[in-house]
Amino acid sequence: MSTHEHAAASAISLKGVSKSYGSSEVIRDLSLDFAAGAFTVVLGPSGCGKSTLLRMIAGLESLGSGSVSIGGTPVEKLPPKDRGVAMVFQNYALYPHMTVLQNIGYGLKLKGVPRPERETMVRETAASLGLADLLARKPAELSGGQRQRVAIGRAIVRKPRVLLFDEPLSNLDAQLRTDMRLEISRLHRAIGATSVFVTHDQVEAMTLADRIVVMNQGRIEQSGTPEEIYHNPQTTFVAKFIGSPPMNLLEANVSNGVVCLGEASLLEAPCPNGSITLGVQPTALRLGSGSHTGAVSGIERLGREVVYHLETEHGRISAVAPEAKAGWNPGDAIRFDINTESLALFDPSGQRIAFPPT
Amino acid sequence: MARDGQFQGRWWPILLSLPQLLLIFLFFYWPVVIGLKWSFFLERPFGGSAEFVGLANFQRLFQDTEFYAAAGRSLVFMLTASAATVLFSFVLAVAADRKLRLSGFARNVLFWPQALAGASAGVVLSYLFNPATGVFSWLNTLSPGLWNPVLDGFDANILLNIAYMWGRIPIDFAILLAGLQAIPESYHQAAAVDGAGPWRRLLDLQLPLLTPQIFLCIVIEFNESFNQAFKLIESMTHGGPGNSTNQLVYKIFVDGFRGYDLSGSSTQSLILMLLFIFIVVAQFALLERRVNYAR
Amino acid sequence: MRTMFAAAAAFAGTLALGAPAQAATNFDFWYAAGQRAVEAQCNDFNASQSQYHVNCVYQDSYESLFQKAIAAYRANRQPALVQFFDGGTLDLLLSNAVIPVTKIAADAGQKVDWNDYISGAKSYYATRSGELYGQPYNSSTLVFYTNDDMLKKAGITKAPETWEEVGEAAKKLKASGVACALTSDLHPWRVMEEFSAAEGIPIASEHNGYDGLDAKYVFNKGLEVQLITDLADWHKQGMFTLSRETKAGDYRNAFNSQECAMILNSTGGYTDTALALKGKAAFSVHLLPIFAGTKRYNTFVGGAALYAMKGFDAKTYKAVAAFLAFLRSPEQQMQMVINTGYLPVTKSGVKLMENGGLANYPERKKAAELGVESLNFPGNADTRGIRLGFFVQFREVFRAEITKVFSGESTPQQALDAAAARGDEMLKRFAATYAGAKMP
Repeated sequence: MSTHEHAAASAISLKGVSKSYGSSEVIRDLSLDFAAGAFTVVLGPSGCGKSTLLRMIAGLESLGSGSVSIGGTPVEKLPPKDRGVAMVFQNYALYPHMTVLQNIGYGLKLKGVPRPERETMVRETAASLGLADLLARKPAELSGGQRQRVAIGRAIVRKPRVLLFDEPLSNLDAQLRTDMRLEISRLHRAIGATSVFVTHDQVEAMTLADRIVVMNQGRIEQSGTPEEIYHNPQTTFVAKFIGSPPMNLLEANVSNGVVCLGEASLLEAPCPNGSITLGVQPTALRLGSGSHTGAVSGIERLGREVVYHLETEHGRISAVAPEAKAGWNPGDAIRFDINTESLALFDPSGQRIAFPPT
Repeated sequence: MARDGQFQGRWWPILLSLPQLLLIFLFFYWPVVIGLKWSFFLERPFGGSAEFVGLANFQRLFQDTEFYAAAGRSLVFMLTASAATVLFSFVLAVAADRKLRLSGFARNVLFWPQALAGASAGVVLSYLFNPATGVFSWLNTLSPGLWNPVLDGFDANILLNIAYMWGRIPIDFAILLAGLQAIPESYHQAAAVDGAGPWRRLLDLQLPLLTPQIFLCIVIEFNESFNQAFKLIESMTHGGPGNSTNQLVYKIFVDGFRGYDLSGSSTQSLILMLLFIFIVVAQFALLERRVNYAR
Repeated sequence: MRTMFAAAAAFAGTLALGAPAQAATNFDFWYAAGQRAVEAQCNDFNASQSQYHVNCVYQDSYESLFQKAIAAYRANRQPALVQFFDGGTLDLLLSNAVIPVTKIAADAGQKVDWNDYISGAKSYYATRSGELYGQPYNSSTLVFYTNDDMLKKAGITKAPETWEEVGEAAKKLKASGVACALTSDLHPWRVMEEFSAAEGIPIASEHNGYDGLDAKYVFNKGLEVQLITDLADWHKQGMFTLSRETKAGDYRNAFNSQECAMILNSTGGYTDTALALKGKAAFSVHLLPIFAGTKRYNTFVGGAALYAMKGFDAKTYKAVAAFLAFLRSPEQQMQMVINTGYLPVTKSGVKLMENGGLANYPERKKAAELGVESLNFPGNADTRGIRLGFFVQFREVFRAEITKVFSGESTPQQALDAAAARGDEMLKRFAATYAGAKMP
């Protein structure tokens, strides 16, 4: 692609967007801006409305209310082809009766690009995706990874201002997925289009995104850089969704400004009395000694790290320890301590309590 | 090596298929053999000594302009009725698939004519299209004689085609609609994003992906139009006006059962059978090559 | 095809009605016209004696009866007695499948005066030596029906007698606002066979085939061409309507519903028309029109005759003979006339009609008398009947070709020539099919 100049990237702006299917509200009064040229990952569980959001940007789904603009132009009345977007589908949606060459070139053909020029563009794109030898094949004769590349090729060959990805990696095996993540990253940088990538996989989100938007039940839970999302989840929903294993959420009490986990008082915090949710990163547990105990119920050896799942009186807790510390077996009782410096506190509605106060 | 669960021995399969073989022999091959024999004889209606005439029956037929005309009418009807039926079914199926002004109720109603026997459909339609009182009679107020299927052979053939389509569209519609609905929505979305409007998608996406179903429909309609023509002609036009709807299947019936020309009728049946075999083979040879089966 | 015939025959057989009376000789009779009238006669016969029992089986048309009889005969399941229509006469004469009724009667010891049959009826079904093959049964002839109210409204006081007058009447009717002055289905029985007889002109050489199987059609000249030409002209001018172009879709219904003012129809249709128009309109029947300046001959007897089929024992034929004798009686003929409008076919039957047999049915008597009058005009060698092979099929050919005149595809001469040419092919084939067979 490097021989071609970058297509201008366009910012996308959603304002007050809602969408319902019958009585179920899929998107609720959502406003969101996607910076031009940025790679934004919309992350959420299935059914959270993230795919609908993507389709509304593409024009495949009508808006209930609100407005969408791409590059400053309102597009809600425009058909998909006039929005300057390209999309990669979860099941690739390659045209089964067309060859790879025809699949990638179809959009160009419709745009009226003359055949020789079209073929040159398709061949360059295909070459950049390692598909040069497969141009005469039909989709049924390709592997999953090859189909994925064709789908991407079809999206990028037109040099769109906006690139939309709808869970494109979910049908691939783990190794391919890692490769494709890198590939997509590389392509994004090469093309420079505004990319919106929808997924339920937080690893993809963390590795690909300039910015992550976490969605839940048609609303935005939190948006920010991967680091912000990981280190400062603003809700228990985000906390549970991010990280592998995710942040431990423990039921705690506050009495007279002191947060207590069971009998043990942990720290002082300016909170009203009552129950509170304590967020503890798995890396913030020190195993081997301390005032808390737990029984090892499961061990995941990840190579450099080991994840211990502990049954404690406060519930199940996951802890990550360096491999050197891996001396325990399932059933062993372990003492542990909590590093109070990276604790997060959430009120009973699940919202983050600003702490420590700045 | 026989697989488990299969009958052993060579007599079992024959024994089990015997009833079916017997029926096929009795009601298909035996009449064919008799017809073959009669084609080389001059058979008297009430039996008795039959005169062996060699190929005279065939010679007579090949000199009979009405035989060629009837065969031609059969072919033309096959082509027009099949093409029109599949085309209209396709249009309706596309409309239904796009939910264009077609409720679920309407889709059901579309299937009802299928339940009506061809002959009854013929009777109903010949009243419906009566030149004086039928639905097209207003054409005659514009210009007298514009619509007159009882006198005008062209109109009579249009009537036959309409009657045929009326009875056959439901099944093709069902087949094509099922085919269209089996095309994943994401193909449409991908094409829409690629810049294809509804018409473009119809041509570039739905049509090619529907070729197996369209091929199936064409094969079915070729066969059906050939056979069903008989009951429609018998109930509506009786081959008229002036032989304009006297197709080969009907001529064979009239010659054999009305005119007691058993030999001529048998000879024509034989030729019809050969013709039909040729058509079916040609159909597969020509059409199947162009079908996309992969999805 | 034999299997199909056999299946059809088996099906027809299962339709046989009635349980045989104990010890009575039982036989089947297939018929296709006059269902109510024939049923009544069957019941009367069975009630009149206990020796014989006839099972009367209705078939829905002459054509399908003929088909089924062929199938049944080939499958050896034929009925002992069948009603066959005029068009199939030669096919039956040469079929080797029927026994002449004269022989049936003689074998049963009956002494019958066959010359009692009026000549027009006899000549149609008899061999050259005068032996009756079939017993004339429901007989009719073609007459001309007019709706007199409609005629009067158009200013016509006297029913047309010539084709020229028919044309003038049609013109006046059209002028008076009648959309359908004259209608016909173009069946050759109506527009060619009976017409030729009334004009005394041949349909085919060899005196319509009576003198040999090498006959050729000759109707395609002279008056027949004139008739078809007139009809085609009238059609163009809106004075003649094809049967299927009428609202009723059928010439009889079109006349009976007063849609059309004039038709050519069998005397056998008289009762239906009388019932339909009763209290609504006056109508009358007249001799078939002929061209002005030509001499009138007898018309053919139409309808059907009864034939005994081969393959039964003497006892059965005795029962058949008894039933035939029952039907021959002037009283039974009168019943048929009353119930249908068919004609008496024996001189004694005609005599009974004149002597009070139809006293309670003055109108029907008028029609029957007209029919008998038409049959009794002096004839010539070409008005005895029609002895042409595959004639049923020829009728289809004729109708198809003549229809082309009215759609403008053919001229009358072209159409008649084409019909004759195709008919000749069929005659040639018939002769070949029965090569070596002797014309009885």
